[in-house]
Amino acid sequence: MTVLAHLASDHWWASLLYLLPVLIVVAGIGITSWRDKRRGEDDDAPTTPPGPTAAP
Amino acid sequence: MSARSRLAALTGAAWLIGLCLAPEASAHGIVGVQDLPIPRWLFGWAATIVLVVSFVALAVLWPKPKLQASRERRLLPVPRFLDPVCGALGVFAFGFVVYAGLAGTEVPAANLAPTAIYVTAWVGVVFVALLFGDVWAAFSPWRALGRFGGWVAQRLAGDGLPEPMAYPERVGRWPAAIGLVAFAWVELVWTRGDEPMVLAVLAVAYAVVMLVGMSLYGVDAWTRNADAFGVYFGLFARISPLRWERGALFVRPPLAGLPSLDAGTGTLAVLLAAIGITTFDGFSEGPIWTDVAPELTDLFAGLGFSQAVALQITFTFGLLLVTGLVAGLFWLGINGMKTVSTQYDAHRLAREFAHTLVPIAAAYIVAHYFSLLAYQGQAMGYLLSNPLGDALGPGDGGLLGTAQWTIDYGWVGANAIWYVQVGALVIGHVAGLILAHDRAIALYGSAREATRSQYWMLAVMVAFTSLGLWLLSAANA
Repeated sequence: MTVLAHLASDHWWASLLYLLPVLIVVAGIGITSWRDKRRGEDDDAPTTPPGPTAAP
Repeated sequence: MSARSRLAALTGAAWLIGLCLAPEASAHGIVGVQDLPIPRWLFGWAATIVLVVSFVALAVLWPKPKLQASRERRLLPVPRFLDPVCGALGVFAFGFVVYAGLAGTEVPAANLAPTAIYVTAWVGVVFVALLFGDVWAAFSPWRALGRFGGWVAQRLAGDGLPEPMAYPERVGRWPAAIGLVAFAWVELVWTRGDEPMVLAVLAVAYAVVMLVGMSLYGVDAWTRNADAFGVYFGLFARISPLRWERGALFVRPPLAGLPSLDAGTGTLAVLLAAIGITTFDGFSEGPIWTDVAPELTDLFAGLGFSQAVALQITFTFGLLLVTGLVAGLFWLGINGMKTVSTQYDAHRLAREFAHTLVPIAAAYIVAHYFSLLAYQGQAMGYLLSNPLGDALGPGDGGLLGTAQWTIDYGWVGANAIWYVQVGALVIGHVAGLILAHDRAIALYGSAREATRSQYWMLAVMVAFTSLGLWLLSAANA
């Protein structure tokens, strides 16, 4: 536990570790929003009307 | 990409770069060596997980608005004579502090005025408001004097007393926002801001401005909009489960007072200023600022300003910049919301969701100033007995017999302070998420649409939490 407690705490890049969860959440939200938008576009797309049936 | 979107993206980028570049910053949390079981940055990750899980839980378990309608009940009657008694006590305390500032020593730490204003009033009253509601309104010295003046005028003039003018709606709470930033400027920027006599003169000047305003627009309208301290403490009091009204005390669920907040013109500015001021207070003691500030000061000095003026220009610039970045972060969340649904414009959304910033501002204040209040607040014990900072003989207890007291730095440890700070930040931001989710359901009608609209507000909450923990962790390093 003691080793874990001091892990990276004294390094300048420890600041980046505070940023990482923000980036992960932003990326996750970005992907989710994009997928929602795509799904919404698919739902809104007009369905192809049935064409004339080909004569046998 | 529109100009506004570009501005929002730039603000976000600037904030992220600032967070990346700084190895540490400082705040009022310097309390000694901690012995934590996990690294401090891991608390940031844990806080993020708590926020994301809360967001998902809200989406699943909170399908209807629960906080929009007022749910309070009368707890007990409050004797009417308490209001003037509290007001008289407030006026006496104000006079006492002003007298100490004018007649006492010019050594800030030995004079009652700086600690009474910057610690007891500015920080302590926020904690009191969070727990017990808008107690400040009862003790506010200028409000008490204004009401007393109105009562006397009514007695003398009777029906001939003219009605106060209507308070201009387009001005709203902007005077309070400007007053807050001005107070922060005196505290954090002005080199003479800790001189007891200067503080006493400024306190009297502020009271005079308040009295003039109240005489023109009425006591209630003025204190509700233009009194920086009345507005500031009143916002935090809405978190409290207690609400005081003339003649009665009401009880309600915590946070239930916030959805009814009238976020009219300037309210958002007050809240963003409150968060920005606290953030700059922490940031200005960190290495980024201590590296950059001398360079900027030299730059301004090169333009012909004296070194002292150049330093103050630099800090003013820093205060406004940090407040602007905080505002930009909130606008990112609002504009993100707009991308999900175009039903409402950004101004309407900012107004509808302004109240969600109140618990965040409270969290920042509790986290940043808890240790200041816990330690420096004790100084009031000996300063009340020796308000002027006179040289006392050994064993001389002064006015109340407590002049020989000292600050006990051992009553709360470094770890306890850290856990209070982390707890405050997490609880404050979860409270912000709850309020935002509840408002979104009321606004958009369906839980699904509400949850989608809050994606970017979740990102803003995570960003504010990480920023707060980063500032504090560096202060406790």
